[in-house]
Amino acid sequence: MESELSVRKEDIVKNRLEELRKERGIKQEELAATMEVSRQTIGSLENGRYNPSIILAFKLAHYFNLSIEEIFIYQEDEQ
Amino acid sequence: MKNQVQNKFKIIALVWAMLGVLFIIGGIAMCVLRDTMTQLPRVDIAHIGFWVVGAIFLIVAITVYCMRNDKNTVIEEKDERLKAIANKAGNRAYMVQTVLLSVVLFLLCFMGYMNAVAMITLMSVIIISVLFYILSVAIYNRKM
Repeated sequence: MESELSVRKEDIVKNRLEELRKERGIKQEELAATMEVSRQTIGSLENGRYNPSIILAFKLAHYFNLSIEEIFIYQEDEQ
Repeated sequence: MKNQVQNKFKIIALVWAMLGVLFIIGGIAMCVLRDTMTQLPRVDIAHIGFWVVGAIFLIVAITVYCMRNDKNTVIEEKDERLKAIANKAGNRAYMVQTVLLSVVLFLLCFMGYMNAVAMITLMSVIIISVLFYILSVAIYNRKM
């Protein structure tokens, strides 16, 4: 059974966290410490298993100097 | 922020410790006054129950007091994913507990394993927790 915490199939939110983090040569632990979340949370975000709160999304956007839309991409269900 | 967390732990530990001491004092009082408390069905062991509950509360107090004030603890306290997981797990556990407890209580009562006092007391606890849930939903509905 799919976890309620995970992203529903009809509400797909993709993100570029892993790509942006690796581009800047940052470790998951470092990003987690800056965002004041656990490393597992960063891992779950990167895998798309967890969607962040709007506050964490803003924090991440500020950290990478990008807008939220440049990091998180919402894909509407086409069915 | 570290001090705030540490103070929070200390206050919570103090509350648990006070409850523990209260139960232990209650147990001592019951032990001393056992001859006058004839209305209790097992007055000979009632004080032990109070001491055990007091000891459990004191252990909880010590555990909370000794919680580390390092960055990992602070992060675990604040981590939104861990909070979401704990909330969802808690909600499910509450539903299972409420349903199972109600069913088991009625079965035990009507099969003759439980007397009316125990039944009414435990049912009251369930009803109070359900009312607390409804009240919390109403409060959060207004806040959010």
